Amino acid sequence: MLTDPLAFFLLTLSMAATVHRRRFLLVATLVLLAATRETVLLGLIFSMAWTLETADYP
Amino acid sequence: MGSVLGRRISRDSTRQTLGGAGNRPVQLEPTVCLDLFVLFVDSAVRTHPTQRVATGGTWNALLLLFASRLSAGARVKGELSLLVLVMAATAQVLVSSDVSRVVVAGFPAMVAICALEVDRLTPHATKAWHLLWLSVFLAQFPWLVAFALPPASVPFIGWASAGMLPCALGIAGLVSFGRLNAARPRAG
Repeated sequence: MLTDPLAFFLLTLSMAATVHRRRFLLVATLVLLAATRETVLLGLIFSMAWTLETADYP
Repeated sequence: MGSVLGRRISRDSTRQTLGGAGNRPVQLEPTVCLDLFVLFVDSAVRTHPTQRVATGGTWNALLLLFASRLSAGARVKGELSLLVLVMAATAQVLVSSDVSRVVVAGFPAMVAICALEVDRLTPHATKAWHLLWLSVFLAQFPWLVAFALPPASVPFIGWASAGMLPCALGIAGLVSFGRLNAARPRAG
């Protein structure tokens, strides 16, 4: 029942970790996000797109 | 297709058991994999074509701000990443039968894009800025009620969801027309 709220929370947290260059938080969030199956791909896609667009490597 | 599949599974249920009574070993026939694939295709085909364009029913009123943002052509640093995330979430409707639920995973990025558009429309936190956010919240509120209560409680919600996509296209057309009109050099 809590899969979707957890996915929202972790996806937002992974986005924030990417933007603020918190690499360990990003990895930990993505590992936890893998529990929600396909949503981890969205977190990874955003991290890669952000890195490519801003050339700001975490 | 589903009925044919149903008959086949029921007829062969004694051989294709998945650990039934008596703890017998699992014996999967090669056709079971094909049957599961056919079941997946069947569920995908049965989904209504309008549900494949799931953004209208998923993003609701936020789709209007999203269309306005895309048409305005304004971009900030990192916004392309948000668009990529929304596109990736929306692309799941190509393979998934549960369209709205998988698309809504891109909600954080969609809200961020809408926040950028609200800031573009009202650059300062004035009264108009608060009214715009309040109108966005009120426009989203019927869907909150519809998902919290039984579906029959808000009977017009289906029509409202279906109308969001044409409205978004209309807003995109108007904003694009305004941009072209503003960029055109005026005679005299």
